[in-house]
Amino acid sequence: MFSYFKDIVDNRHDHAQSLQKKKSKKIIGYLCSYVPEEIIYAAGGIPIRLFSNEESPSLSENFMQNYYCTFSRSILHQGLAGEFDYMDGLVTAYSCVTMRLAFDNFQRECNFPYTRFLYLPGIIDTPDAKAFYHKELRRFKRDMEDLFGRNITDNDLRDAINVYDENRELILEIFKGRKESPPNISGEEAYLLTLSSMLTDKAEHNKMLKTLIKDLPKRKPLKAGVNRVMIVGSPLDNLKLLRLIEKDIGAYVVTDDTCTGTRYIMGTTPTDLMDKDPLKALVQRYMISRPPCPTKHSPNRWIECMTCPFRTVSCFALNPSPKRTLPKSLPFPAPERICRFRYALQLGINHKVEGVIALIQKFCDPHGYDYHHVTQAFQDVGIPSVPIEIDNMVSIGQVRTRIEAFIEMIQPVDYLIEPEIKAGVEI
Amino acid sequence: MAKFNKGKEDKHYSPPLKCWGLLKEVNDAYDERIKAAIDSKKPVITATGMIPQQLIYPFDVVYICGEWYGSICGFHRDVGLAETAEKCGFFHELCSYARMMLGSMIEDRGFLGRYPKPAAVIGTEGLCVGQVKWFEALARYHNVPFFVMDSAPIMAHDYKNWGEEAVRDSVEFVARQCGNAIDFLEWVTGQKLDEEKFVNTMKIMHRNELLWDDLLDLWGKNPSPITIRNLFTFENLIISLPATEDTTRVLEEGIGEVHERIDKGITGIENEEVRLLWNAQPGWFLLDTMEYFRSQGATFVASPYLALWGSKYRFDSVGDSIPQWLREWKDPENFDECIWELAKGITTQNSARPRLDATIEEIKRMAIKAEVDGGVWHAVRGCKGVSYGALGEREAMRNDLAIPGFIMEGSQVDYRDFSEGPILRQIRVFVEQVKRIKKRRIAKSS
Amino acid sequence: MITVGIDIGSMSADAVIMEFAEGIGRGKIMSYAIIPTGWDSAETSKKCMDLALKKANIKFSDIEYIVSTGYGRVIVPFSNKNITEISCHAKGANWNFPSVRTILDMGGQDCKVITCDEAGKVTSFLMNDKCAAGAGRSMEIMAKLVDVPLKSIGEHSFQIVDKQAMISSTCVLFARSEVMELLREGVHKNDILAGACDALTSRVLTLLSRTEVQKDFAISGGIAKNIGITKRVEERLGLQAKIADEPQIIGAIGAAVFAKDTILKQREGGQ
Repeated sequence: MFSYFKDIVDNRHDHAQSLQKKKSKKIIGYLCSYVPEEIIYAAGGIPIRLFSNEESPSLSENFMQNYYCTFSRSILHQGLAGEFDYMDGLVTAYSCVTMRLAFDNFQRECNFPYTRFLYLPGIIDTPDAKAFYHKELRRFKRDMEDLFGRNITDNDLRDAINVYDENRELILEIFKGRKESPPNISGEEAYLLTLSSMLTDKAEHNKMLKTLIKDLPKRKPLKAGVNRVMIVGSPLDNLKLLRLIEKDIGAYVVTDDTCTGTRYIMGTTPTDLMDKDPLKALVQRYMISRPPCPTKHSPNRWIECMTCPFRTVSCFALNPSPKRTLPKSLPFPAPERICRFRYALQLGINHKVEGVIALIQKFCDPHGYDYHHVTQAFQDVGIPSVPIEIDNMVSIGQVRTRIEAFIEMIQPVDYLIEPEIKAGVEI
Repeated sequence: MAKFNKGKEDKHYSPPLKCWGLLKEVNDAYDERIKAAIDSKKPVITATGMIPQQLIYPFDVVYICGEWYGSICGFHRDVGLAETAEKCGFFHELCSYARMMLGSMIEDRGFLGRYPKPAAVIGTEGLCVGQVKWFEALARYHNVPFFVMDSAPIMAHDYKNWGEEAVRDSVEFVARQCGNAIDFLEWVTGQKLDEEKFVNTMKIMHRNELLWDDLLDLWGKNPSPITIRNLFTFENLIISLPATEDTTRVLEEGIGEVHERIDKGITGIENEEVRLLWNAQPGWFLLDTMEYFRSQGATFVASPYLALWGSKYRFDSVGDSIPQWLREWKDPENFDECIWELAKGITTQNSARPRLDATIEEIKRMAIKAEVDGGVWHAVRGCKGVSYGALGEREAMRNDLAIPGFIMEGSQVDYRDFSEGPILRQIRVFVEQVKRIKKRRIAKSS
Repeated sequence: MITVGIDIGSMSADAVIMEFAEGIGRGKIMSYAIIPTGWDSAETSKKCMDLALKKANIKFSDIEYIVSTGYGRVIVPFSNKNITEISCHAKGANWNFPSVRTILDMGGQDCKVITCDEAGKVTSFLMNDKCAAGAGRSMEIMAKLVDVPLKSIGEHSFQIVDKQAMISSTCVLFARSEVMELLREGVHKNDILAGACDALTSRVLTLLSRTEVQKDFAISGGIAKNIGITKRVEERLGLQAKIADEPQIIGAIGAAVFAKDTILKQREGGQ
């Protein structure tokens, strides 16, 4: 049932090249999920996200020091090895300095016909930032028009946005069933859906998703009665880890807070803005509607914290202090966008998660600084968590013991003396 | 850590600068003011060194620069603070300044006595993403307002490809944020911005930047009259008190003395055999270890990292890739002009760092101007922003200028990330290599 | 009731045979065997099992249930179930000393700190498996370099001749070359061992400092036999450590106890 999606993920470059040849589509690679793909799609191109693989990133050693994360170094390594030579361009938006260094090196060392760095501000929910990024996107649109040799009208943008929103809604529709016990699909399958969506033409993807929605209820339900966990952390692109958690150890990954998972599909484009100015709508979607990434900030987040429903079970558990009352006159509004920790907590609670596995890339600063807040926040609602450091060549043996010990730890006392052998998830 | 500064008998030792006395006075007075502020009602504003202090000076507050605080903790080798931070879940791979300051905050102790609790924290998203998250953590802990600024760097290809429109948009965006920052500070402190003080501070800051440029130029003379250690001492002052007249006095005195040295023929190290370039922060705990270079006859004469606090060098690096109006300074006379000049300064300062093409051009120009024979990059673990592109720079120097380079792995303030033994060996081998290459180059050209 | 726990570690493997009279009470150890882990974990587990059986003078068919643990737990062909060494160490330490709440396990390749409750159930754990500097492998390297048998390292490290050597390298590979230079300079091997033990203790304490160490505190694993480390850890923590007579088999003991509990649960459930 998932073989179409699995095929795209397993053979991504072949698939992309076939789109290039058979449909004469230009393939534009991108590094960060903040890139406004809809503009590329409206121009007639297909954006394909670049991911790491399991080779040692040796070619990147001359360009990126070893304390930059292997996610980006592996992507640079693949680029230098020629894996992306067939692509017609490379685009990224500013989110973290490591991806930025990888991009700079791509510009200097590889011969992409077109490269572009979108300066997405780090502060993303002020009117100034939105206005700035709007101008930036106007320039990007002009670039796309030059590259593809055609005009991009507002209607072209609206059509592209509609295809993308439909994709998000369809996947969300399927994900609703993950709240059940047992969930309707496994975590690995969920990631197959989102990852494959980033690697193909979404119009095609939508058709296959509709078929899946029809066929899924006919499937035998998954095995009941195993743990429910949530993954939080750096971009997850290695399905081996999911197989380890679900098949070998025996816990379902029922939801996640990663940019390759739910963060990619949550948040549709506001329809009221679409009628007036679709570019503005895109700005709104990418900066406000979509769930936040740790690399993005609001200058007045602390205003929201004061009245956050989770505030009483503090995110500030290092130094829990009484709720502070909002002063009467505040020259700034509260942020438009939801706080990342609140988002993750709500997701976890709605999906009745029993444990959180924080899969964080070694040397990842944004997730590294957030980690202790995430842990404390979940702990305060009674959900334990475990940090797992990963890199692109993650050694499954080491990770296995940690995750398995964590699952053993969060079980009720009797779990370890259950008569039957721990079984994995059967599909 | 081994000590290599063997004292007056060592032929590489040169007399100390007389202006150190004045500098120490200024620093001590600053420390006293902060200590007093910890217990008094005067608000403490903790901010990153990457945002312009000109925004904060016009208010009657005590300003604490996060990186300065972390570096002094490291200078005192207080690694227990970093361990406390790690115990609370901040990984070892994060910036060592951050871990020191977070540890100091959690334990409520530091080199100033207690930890100076902020009334508000200001961060910037410009150099790297870790920095702003560190300040966010500081603000969360004490539950105080946190303001973030975005300092949109300008990319050279932006100007070439998109024209002046893009550059102007960036500067305008930053200018508006400076305005927001002032609103924020007015709200937090309950004070109104002192416009006269603001204008004055801008002028003093600019003057100090020009003085700093002069100092760096003098440092790069052949032979060099002062050492990099002297520069780091000055840098300490520039980071903590960049826009004060005290700093102007110290710098002017220092520059005067350096001129005297050049006239008298006093050099930083006698028998200067090899001239090196240094990039990124020093390890503040291994200033003594850096004396090892001196003992090998090598001295540092240029540094892109130190040039960050000046004004001229960053324009040198971006060359003609930014428009003329952005490079020129115009003395501001009112609030709006101050904000505009400030915005121009921020966008160009940050533009030199996190952009590979610019950093490579900058370092090559600097190396040629200072007649450098070799380059040393401190690959600071945990600091991705300042050591950005070190490998590309080294390769460019090697391929385009035939200048060899050495990458030294270490940390700004966490001595656990530094292995002295092997690095000393590597330094020795590297300096010998540079001497050999220099000899051959001189022989060829004569 | 006779159960077996097998712990296949990275450096050594051990099997423990325990007897529980009708599953009631604490039970006792019938026999145990410790052998080095070869490159074939399945073979090693068989060999280890056979040795323990021989020592206990029983047959394989006498055993009711086998639980395997450790690095190679999934490869043991004849085990009924596998459980991580983290849970097994907690259980085993609890069996030895019911008052224990914090366990420091120092194995061949890694180092763990585990906290547990009064029933021996894990409440938190921390692992350091990225680096050999805090593990048994580094002690092996040191022993070879200074030519002192592994089991005498502790004694030697306290008989300082001149003064404790300073080994500044955090990485055990660099420390190796430092030690070789020290030997060349004529520093006595006792002094070098004192420095090496001190360095390893520091590494271990970094891990311990990230947990709230609660009494009672136990040390298990191969290095627990090395007084050069254990005494230094006790001193720095200010706590007496409980160390079993044979600290290397704690994991296997825990596994055997889990085996016993599983059988009891089975019988309860009428299966």
